[in-house]
Amino acid sequence: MSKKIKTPRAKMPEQDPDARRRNFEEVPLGLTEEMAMIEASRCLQCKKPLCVDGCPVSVKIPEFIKLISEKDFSGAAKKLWETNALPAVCGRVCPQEDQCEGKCIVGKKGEPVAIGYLEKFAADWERENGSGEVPKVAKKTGKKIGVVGSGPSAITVAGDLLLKGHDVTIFEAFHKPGGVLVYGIPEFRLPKAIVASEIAGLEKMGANIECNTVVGASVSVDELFEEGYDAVYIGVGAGLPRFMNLEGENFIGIYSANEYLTRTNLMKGYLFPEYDTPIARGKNVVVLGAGNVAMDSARTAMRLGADSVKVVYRRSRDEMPARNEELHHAEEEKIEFVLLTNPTKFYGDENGRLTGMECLKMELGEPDDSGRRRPVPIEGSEFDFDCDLVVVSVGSNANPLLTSSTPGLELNRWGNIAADPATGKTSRKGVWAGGDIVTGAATVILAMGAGRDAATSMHDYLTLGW
Amino acid sequence: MEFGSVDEIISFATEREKEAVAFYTDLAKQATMASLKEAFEKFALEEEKHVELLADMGSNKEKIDSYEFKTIPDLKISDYMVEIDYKEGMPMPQILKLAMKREERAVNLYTIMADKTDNADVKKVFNILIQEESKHKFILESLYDDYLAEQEG
Repeated sequence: MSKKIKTPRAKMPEQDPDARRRNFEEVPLGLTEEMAMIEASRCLQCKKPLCVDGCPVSVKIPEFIKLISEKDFSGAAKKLWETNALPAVCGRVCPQEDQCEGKCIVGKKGEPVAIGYLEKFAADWERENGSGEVPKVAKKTGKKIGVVGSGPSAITVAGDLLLKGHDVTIFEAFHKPGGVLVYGIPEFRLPKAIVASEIAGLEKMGANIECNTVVGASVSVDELFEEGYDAVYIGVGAGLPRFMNLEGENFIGIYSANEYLTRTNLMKGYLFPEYDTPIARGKNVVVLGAGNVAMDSARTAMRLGADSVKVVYRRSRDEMPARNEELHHAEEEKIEFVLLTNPTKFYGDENGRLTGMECLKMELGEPDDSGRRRPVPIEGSEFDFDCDLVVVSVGSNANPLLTSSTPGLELNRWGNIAADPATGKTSRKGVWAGGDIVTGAATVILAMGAGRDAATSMHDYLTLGW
Repeated sequence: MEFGSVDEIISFATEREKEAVAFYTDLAKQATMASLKEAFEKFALEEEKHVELLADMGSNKEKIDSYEFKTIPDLKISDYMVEIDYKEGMPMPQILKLAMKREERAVNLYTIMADKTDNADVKKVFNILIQEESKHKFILESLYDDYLAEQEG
């Protein structure tokens, strides 16, 4: 055991920060076969693996790692697919440090096994070298399922229900499926070819995908039932941009992160003029917020040619919600963090174009009853920034388009769909929901976990009743 | 706006607080979502407490003397926001902004009135009202702050 722990954790080879901050190619280069096998050998193969408890979709972690250590890379990928429809995605974007790796016993005395790196390795190996075969689906049940949205939770539901023999149609509002995986997460963090490959796998399993279909506008949930669907899953994410309602927020040059990233990623604005999508290329860029979406926006702005990118956040470093890895990558790419600072208004010129902003320094106040120290403005600490592009990344709301057109669908006070946390059942018979439309903005893997639970419940409904 | 006595202030403030109760009660009636209805009813109840507090002061001036002043933190979240109008179906974060702004306006109004008077009793009543409205502003801004902290990912 001690020898296993003494083997140092694999270090992921990455593009040099100075080079990558100006290109959209993926940052981590991936482990070699030899590196993956050495890393896999660090796993203790615990009898009661805590890492699996830490995974929202209960990936069979010790089993797939053992297969890697035995050089059965294809077997490892297939083991992943038994519980995870998107291993290549999860290996890249899951917060493993808070989930599987956070529970790893090896991590108690040293650094945890690099489960995420190994997951990425196995899934990539299979995509590049495997036969392309997909899991076998059960005998057709004749039941029709409508899945609204095609992000992580929707894909998981679709995959699980296809396996059980149900007919699945996915309705996607955009012209390409993948949801936040294609419109939100940038190419340098999640290459779109990988998402396309995962979606192609679903289609091979029999999924019918209807793009450019806005459920709630083009067709309603009620109409889907009239058309013969037996059950509907709503996994449309939380895509309504949120702004701060500050003076001057309508100046040209202020984007929501949602629009900025959608233009760049889904609509390939970074490849302009090859793709005919205009995207503002600011020289002095400010990103408001400090989550993963804010880091994606800041790093995108740098790659689009900014001289300076500042992340302005009203709390301290400890409270920044982005993954440590994302913060580290951003800093390596010369993104500046301006902490305990809050914007108060924006300045513009006579043409309505953004020219700068006013901010206020904050300090953390005394802990309140909940123990939280809230940021409080420091009197008279106003100061100005020059900037020509601002990306507002302070979260997003649930889009009311679908929910308001679906009678009887109960919402919570924030406008998210109220769904049973264990099953995803909503207040409407035959309708389930999961992912960000239920929880508000969360992680890919949590959305997938919700999809897994809902698929189980939907299958029970289709075979046993409500 | 001039006030000659404590009673006049209490009467003015009571009308203002009753208007706030009516505002939130009306929104609660209009709300089609159960959760929003509940939130508006809660806000109305909070304003109702102010009406009761003022009634208590009107009938018992000792209450004014024994009122305990505390420092209420001011997160100043609403202070830099522009005004927004209520629209049916508005999401909760927008409604919080609306409510925070109302409380901010109330704090500002009572602060201006407190500054305008030299009458110590009258000033004290205004300061009580400032504290009460500041508490509401802090509760609402804390709710919004928590929401932002949860949703910034």
